[in-house]
Amino acid sequence: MTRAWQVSVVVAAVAAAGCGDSGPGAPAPYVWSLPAGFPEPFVPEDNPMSEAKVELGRHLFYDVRLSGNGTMSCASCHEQSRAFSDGKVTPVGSTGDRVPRNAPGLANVAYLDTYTWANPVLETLESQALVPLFGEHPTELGLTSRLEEALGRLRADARYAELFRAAFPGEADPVSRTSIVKALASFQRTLMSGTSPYDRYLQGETSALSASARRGMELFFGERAECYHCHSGRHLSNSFRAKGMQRQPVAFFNTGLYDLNGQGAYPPQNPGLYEFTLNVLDQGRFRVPPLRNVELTAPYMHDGSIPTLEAVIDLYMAGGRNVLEGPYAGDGRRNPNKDPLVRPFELSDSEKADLIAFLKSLTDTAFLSDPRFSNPWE
Amino acid sequence: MNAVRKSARWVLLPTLLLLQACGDDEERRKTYTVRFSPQVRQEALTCEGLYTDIGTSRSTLELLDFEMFVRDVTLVRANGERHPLKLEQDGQWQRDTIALLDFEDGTGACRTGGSAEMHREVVGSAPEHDDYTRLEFKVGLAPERNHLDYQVETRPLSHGDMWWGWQMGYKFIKLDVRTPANAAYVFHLGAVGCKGSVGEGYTCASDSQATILLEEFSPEKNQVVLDVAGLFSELDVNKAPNGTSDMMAGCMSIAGDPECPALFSQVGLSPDGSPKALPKTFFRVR
Repeated sequence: MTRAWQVSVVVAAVAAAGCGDSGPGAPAPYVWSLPAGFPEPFVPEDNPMSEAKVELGRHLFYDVRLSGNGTMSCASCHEQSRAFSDGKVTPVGSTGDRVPRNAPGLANVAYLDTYTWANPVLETLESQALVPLFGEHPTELGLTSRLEEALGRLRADARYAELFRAAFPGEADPVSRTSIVKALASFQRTLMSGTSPYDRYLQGETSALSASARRGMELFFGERAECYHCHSGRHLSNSFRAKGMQRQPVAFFNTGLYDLNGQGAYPPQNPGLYEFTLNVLDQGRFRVPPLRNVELTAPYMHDGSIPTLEAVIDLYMAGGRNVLEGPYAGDGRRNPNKDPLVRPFELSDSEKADLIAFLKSLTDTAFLSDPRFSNPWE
Repeated sequence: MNAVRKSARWVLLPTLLLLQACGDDEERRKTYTVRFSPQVRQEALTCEGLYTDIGTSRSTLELLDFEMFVRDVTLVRANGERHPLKLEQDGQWQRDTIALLDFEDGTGACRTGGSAEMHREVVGSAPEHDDYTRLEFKVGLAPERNHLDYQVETRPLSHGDMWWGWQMGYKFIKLDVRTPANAAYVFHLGAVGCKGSVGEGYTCASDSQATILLEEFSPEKNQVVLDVAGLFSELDVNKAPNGTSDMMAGCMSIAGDPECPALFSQVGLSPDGSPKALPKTFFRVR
């Protein structure tokens, strides 16, 4: 088994290297469907892309049989029509645990440099997958103690026998934890969203953006609102990695949402990067989310505590948030660790409307129903 | 195994002859078993039991899960000579110098998520002596081994219960109990404040490396007691988290969690994860 696995990996790696040879059973070199102007994403060497892995991953992503108790799938918190978010403040796992952070959309996740909201050690989609599949506190899909049971359900389905064999042709026993992780990551890498009005505008279709959205774009990338300092680049996030790129220095930012003690404290269930550095200056630092389809991923912020785009803009105009009452009362505007670029600025009502129009121009309606990303079981 | 032993003996023959010339003898090795006994005071801790008078609120307690990694298990002679056990490589619980101990049997309160497999001892060989009087071992995995890789399939590191995916590492101790107010009151010991990557290696603000040294321990006569009543002696295990300053029932090695200092102390760690004197309340000898 180990030997077969090694041979399979070697063959796949050779094929991926484009040496022109492809023996029997080697996956065909993967052909990306990249939107215009998108680079090829980073893919770890130990999990080269293949159509068969993507298709297997799609089936697994939508399958409740993948959870320990057979009640939830990845798609339960990542719905295609919401750009793969779930519309909730924070999700509830398969056994009823409240998950402390908002479920993000998955458009263009292939390009992120770190995964989840403030975890610098989850550097690939493969390592990230272990958290929802096997995490216990909170339990999300709850596979830890029920993995064999779930594998048994998958093995019992003739369709999966074909899919796993096609995706992992060299494996003696292709239905395994490792292959599930690899397939899910491969599918997620294909969730490309790049045909929004803004994308079409960048490709030269000047009429794709309304006059209002164009004015909003100027504000977004201008020195008054300064959104672009963090929401930079093609994906409107400074967390970015493409093929051939090394990992960038850690980039997490405090936007002044909270200050529980006048010294920078955030709610203990969401301390931000501090959880990994134990440096008090890193309290409240979170990774910048990409903004494509942002109109559909409400509510906002790592904890889903801001309900609308208008309210998000109000927060930034105020230079942070003053929580007047409740367990998290405190003036985030005065948080000593707040990023210096989060500072008060003024927008008129019509300018706010323009900025909203720009943010809505990031919606890729084709992505929301693209059959390549849809539930194969329906 | 037998073939290897014969081969080793043959290869060693010239060396033995040389040693004979020096008037020395090769040390005879013997298999030793170090037994671990989870208890509540004098009573065995099992999945079927309901235990009383636990912690500062004198709560009741039921076991849900109890597992622990130990490594570098070493027998110490009266004269101070230290002999690490060369662990039997059983392909299941023991690998290299690491052993996974599993104290729940999937019955009673451990039924949810439990399995019947148990491992309550560490088996290995050491030079034969009749004056081993101390035991030393470390709790957890060494920093260089504490990297979770989804492709690790080898037991015991493939045991998903001990994975800590969020920290990309492993739990060193996983003890989950139930009290009247808490469906799960937990002690999960692991490294915290970790950064890095598989390629570059990880560094942690606290590796949470505890070394346990027990006196008056003979492997033939004694066992290591893991006394859960002692572990929780300074805590109210029936206190429900308040959702602000205390986010969870028990301790998951999170900085600022109010229950962590008392639990870390019982395994010889300061709140910041550095070593401190080990009390004889959780780890003791019987």
